[in-house]
Amino acid sequence: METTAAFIAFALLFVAWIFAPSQTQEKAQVAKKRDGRSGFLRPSQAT
Amino acid sequence: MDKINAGDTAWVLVSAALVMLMTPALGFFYGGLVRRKNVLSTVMHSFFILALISVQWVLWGYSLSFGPDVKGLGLIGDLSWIGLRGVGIAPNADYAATIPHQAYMVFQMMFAVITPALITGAFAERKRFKAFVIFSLVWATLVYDPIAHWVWGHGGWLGKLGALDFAGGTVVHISSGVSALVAASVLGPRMLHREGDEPETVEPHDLTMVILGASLLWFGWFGFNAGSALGANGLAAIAFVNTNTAAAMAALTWITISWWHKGVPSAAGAAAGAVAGLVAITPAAGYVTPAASILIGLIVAGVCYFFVMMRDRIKVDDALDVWAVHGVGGTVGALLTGLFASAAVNSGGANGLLYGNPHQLWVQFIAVAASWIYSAVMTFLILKVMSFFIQLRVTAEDEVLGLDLSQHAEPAYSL
Repeated sequence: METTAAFIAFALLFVAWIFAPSQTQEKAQVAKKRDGRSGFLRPSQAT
Repeated sequence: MDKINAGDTAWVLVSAALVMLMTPALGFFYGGLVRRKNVLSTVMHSFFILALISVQWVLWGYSLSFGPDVKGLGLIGDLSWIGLRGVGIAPNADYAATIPHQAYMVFQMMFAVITPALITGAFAERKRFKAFVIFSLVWATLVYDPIAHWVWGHGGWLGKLGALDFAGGTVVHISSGVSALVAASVLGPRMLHREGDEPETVEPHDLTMVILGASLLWFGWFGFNAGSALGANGLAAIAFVNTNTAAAMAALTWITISWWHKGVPSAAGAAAGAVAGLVAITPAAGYVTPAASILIGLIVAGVCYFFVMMRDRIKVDDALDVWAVHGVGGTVGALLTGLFASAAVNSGGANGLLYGNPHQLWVQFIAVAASWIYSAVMTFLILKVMSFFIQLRVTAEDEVLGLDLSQHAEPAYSL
């Protein structure tokens, strides 16, 4: 009984991953603006 | 019922924890090697796999790998241990007679976790997270679990053939390294865009992170190899010494080669060399002498260095050299085990070519060839089938933006 429930729980997670929304460019751009320097810092900007 | 030994149990559980640490360590190792816009996504690959395969292993992975053999063919375990049914505290003498069966299971779980994580270095900086999740789960089930059964499962055909693989040269490193090459080929190379007048470089963004990751991998590898003795005993000590010795010798050799080749003793090369030595000693750790482990470290560093240099010529963008280090290093280690193995070191093993048994080298070759062919074919099929249903790569726009923001909407650094 517990094993069956565990399998169902994992299967539901797997289905959720398959149909999960993809990160949109809009959200990515918001994140980029929220911390505009992050990940894009040039040595010249750092000094 | 076999008697549980407290020392053996403690050592195997501690070893499982050491091997667990290797997967996030791998994340740091890989994370330092990628560009800063992709570091978080790269670390996330390893962290996610730690969670994903931990559950897969309990539900069906362990049963497929170590469960009772199906029809005596030695190809796969059956599903009678699904959800760890029947896998309890009592030792299983087929695998480890002095520790709880669950201790053996969780030790093996950590090997199953790190193996697909190794592949992520090949498709770093371009694979969609969703595709990565599905691929990792399917690959663990269809590639790792069968090969683990062939070599280590009770009744596995390579084990019955006499193949020596102390801690995973074929099961872990060849399977992941060869699959990495195939995955990188199917996905295609990373896209380098131009920023102003300069083409984008793919230099490692943080070598301190790479060294930290490699150091933690080295530390965890004591659990990987010495833990594979499955007891707190002399064999564990031999494997421990060999592991450290081969890693050290390979690091020294790699540094020396790069010093002469490029004029500088590379820090990244030191880390890569140590990892190559650790990979190569993995199948041999419990079968060879410390002197042999020095030679294994020497040879593997030279061979892997050559194949890393060849990467540009084979036109496959294996981003973080997973094939050149793990695929080639695992192959070198497996074959050298057939050369240097000595029954005087481990009576449960066999003599190699240098001790009068050329047949062992042939057996090792068969194990290597079978692991290469099966991993390559299955990985190709998995990715091709997946590509009919799901986009494997991020879009060009997302790749330029970086996977940290495009896949996770989180920057790695807020400096």
